[in-house]
Amino acid sequence: MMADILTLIFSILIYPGLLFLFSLALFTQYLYRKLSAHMQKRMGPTYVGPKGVLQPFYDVWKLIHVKEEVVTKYSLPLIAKFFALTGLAAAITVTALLPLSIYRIIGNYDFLVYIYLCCLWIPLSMIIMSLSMPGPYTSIGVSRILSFITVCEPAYFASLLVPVTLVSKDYSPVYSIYTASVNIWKYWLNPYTVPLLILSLIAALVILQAKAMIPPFNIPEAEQEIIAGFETEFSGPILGLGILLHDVDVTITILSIVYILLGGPYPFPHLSIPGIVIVIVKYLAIVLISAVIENIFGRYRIEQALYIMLKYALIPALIALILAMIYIL
Amino acid sequence: MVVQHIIGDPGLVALYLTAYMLIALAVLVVIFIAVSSKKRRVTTIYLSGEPEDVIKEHVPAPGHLYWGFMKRFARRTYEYLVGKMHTGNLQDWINFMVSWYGLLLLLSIILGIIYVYMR
Repeated sequence: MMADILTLIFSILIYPGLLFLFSLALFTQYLYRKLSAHMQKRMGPTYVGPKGVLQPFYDVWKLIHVKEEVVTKYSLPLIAKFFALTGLAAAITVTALLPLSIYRIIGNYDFLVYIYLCCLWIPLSMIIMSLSMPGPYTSIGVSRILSFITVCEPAYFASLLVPVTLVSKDYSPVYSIYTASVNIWKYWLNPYTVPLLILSLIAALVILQAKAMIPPFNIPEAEQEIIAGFETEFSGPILGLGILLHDVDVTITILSIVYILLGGPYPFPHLSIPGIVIVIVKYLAIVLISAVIENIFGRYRIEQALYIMLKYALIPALIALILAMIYIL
Repeated sequence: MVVQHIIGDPGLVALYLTAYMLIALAVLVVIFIAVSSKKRRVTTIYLSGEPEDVIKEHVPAPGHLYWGFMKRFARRTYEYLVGKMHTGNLQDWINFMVSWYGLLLLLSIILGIIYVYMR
């Protein structure tokens, strides 16, 4: 019992909770910035830490610890901070469902709880944060996020449901993130299920860009056009939390693709050299693909973005899901 | 050491994870209160240098929040449907409905055959 509680506290505070997840999120932000800088012939983060690796951490720390909060008479900064922390707590909770956690909660249909945490709590926290610091630019940004959610989240749900459905045919607990992560690699070797997984992967990669709100799907933020979109009125600690929540959301999405769709380190165990190498390579490959897409495309208008998501994410994911349902009959 | 709880009841899974989230939230609140800056400055809304009276509302109306979805995205679908089947010509309407119902019927027959065959 005591060991249980200690592991729970360790998993929330250190690994894979607060310290690990936040460090990975900030490192992922560093990777995006450095890769983009390289593709645009700039230097990117350079001065803080070796090769500038501590720059994202320093930025967030400075905003949270040093900078002042700039508010208007319409702002509700306490609500904004509370929901930012709630979103971060939801992200930490998601890690308990993944096989990388040392405190795992596994059960039938835990995939639905995962979707509840990832697709409801995290975006909702971001939206409430933004609406708590109102302004005309903020309203336009939030309206665009809400428009995104109508297509992006169902596509994300469908794309991850494909591997979970396939695995639930043969393994239990059914519709479980852990079961899917541990066994999906076998379905990448099956010629009947590979096309479905490829369709899901394409959909998930498109959705990653949209969830991360990076080009070509950066219309909710739309720098210069609507100042900073949903983040316009954020400042000091609220801006720090907003950046952290965004980075953690991106990291959780990438981790979900790595584990649920690509099978994490399996068939090797986590604590083996091939296992560690495979997970890192998959993670970096997804970041690289995403950064390349970010730097190739320009910004889509809102209706263009929604059509692209419909065409390249929602429809492929739904087709894959229907075929997966036929396969498990 | 890895602790693994395998739970059959989905309701219990949700309950466990909610408790996990609440503990994580409590930890985050404590850490944030300890480290965050307490400095605050009150200012006006950012309106690119314009005064506040240039805008009617400081918060968006619910109808405006889905503007991008309803007016831009859904409108194109709506206009497509109007253009295809609601032209005023009954023949267009019948063509549209029969073709879609035909496709759905065909799909259901194919899926039915696959289902029976797989069983």
